[in-house]
Amino acid sequence: MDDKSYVLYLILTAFLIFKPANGVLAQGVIESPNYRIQFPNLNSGAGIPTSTNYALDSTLGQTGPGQFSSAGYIVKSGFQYIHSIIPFSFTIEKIAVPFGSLIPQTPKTDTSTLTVSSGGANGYQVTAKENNPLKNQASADTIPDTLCDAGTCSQTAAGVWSQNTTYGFGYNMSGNDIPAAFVDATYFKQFADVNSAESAQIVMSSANVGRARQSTITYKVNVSNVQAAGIYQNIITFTATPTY
Amino acid sequence: MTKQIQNSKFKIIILFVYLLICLPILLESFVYLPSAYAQDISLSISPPIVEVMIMPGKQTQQTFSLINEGMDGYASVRIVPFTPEDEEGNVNVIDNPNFSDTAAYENWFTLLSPSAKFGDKFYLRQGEKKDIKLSIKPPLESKEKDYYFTLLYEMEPGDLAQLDGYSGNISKAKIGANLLISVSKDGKPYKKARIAEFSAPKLIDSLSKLSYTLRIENMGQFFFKPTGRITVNPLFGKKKVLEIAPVNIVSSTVRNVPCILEEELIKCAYDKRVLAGFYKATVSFTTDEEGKEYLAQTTTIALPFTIVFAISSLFLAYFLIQKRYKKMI
Repeated sequence: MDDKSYVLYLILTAFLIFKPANGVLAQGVIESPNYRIQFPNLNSGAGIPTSTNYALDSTLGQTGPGQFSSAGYIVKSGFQYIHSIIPFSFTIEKIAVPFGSLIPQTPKTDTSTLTVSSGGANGYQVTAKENNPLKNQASADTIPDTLCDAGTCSQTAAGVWSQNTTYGFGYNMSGNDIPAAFVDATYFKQFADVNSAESAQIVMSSANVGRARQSTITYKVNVSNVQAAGIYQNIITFTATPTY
Repeated sequence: MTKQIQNSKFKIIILFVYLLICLPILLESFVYLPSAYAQDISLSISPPIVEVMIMPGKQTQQTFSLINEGMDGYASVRIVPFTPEDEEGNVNVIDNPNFSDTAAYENWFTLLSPSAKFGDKFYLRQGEKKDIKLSIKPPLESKEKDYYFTLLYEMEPGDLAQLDGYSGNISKAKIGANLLISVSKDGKPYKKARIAEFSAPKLIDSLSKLSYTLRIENMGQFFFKPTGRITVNPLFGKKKVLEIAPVNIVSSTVRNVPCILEEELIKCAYDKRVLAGFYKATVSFTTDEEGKEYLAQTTTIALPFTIVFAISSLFLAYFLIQKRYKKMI
């Protein structure tokens, strides 16, 4: 290799290193429908509680009887009877769930894991809702939410969905603190549709303090022969709130 | 020969400069590679609840700590009203940007940092902690009563483009912390409770456990915590005291009140096997350790049904066997 080639080689490799890698690192790999990367739960809480800016069960504005009138307020942070310093935390493992190519009468499923730690937060609940049914952004065609085999499913009622001739989109829950309606892996529900003014539905809840409570949500979709070809997508919003 | 040496020196210098520039970039790539691949959201918030009693027109500040343990992304916070969802203390968050009630309270709260407006996005790297400083100031004309809100922390690490042209869905996550605000001029709001239910089975088997249901109604306009106990006095044996959990009972609601043991919320239950006899239980509590004491009683009769049945069965079996044996002889 002569001097010019050598310098050129170094410049080219340096250019490749400097080239922005946004999108390349994650997108190409994770959107592959052929495999799934499992990540550890990073939600341990260990080491987190050393915050200098909050104190669970602290009280401000009241240093003695009658101080309310001078300060004008009393503030109590955290549950006064639970001294756990584990923060309230919520994790969704795998936020993008691509179903790959949808083939009529061939149901596709995929899963995601939800984890809640409510150490210092008493009980909790997690609700879920969809922005709309799976929708083709270009044509506005939708894959309707499933009615299950008996045609009785809704966002509030679960039902068995095992037949390949039952179409739609729905979900099943398994694991800790899930609604009793999900009797087994064949029971599915619709997501509450915000577009239809439906209220978000509980997918996990507990009245007790818990750490790393984990459930698996299974998404299922199945289309009929008459479903228009296209790409159907939607957004599911999960909201975790502690009890008061 | 001299030219070759000079050439080598030139190459070494170039290589050195190359490594100096590129090595940090390469190392950084290795360090941040996992977060780029990590397609998860992990949110933490603390404290999970803040209780404020404040005079109309006065101002106080509260800090919430947010932690992003998932992938890098844009975070935002909003404050929305909530209504009680059930008797277990769950909240029904009014999470609709178009809901008129949300706008009605906009002037109560000011975001002091990290952004100037609710809903504005700020970047949070994986593992980063951000303190949200919030100013709370109910207007001077606010009515003396309770107001309930949830501070929602949301991460938006991705969009539908992440599906790369496939059918599927994207998840978004929000986590909340509740804000109970009592607006009071004198700091001594009137609190009124009612025991909606204090019950236990009237008749139980001696070998089963005795559990109590306590539902307390808040008939006032300010939340309170019941402070008290359930005392179980058996006809035989020692009395048992169960501490009532001081859970918040918000205005105009009924809450199922559990008991508490070493910071763990438990079912109010006599944890030993009961013997035969009467079990008289008394619940007594005050609201926030002050004022009127509320009382209620319930009595349970425990009878040894299982033991009697077992002994009877044994006797019956014995007599049947004996009868058959006599016949055989």
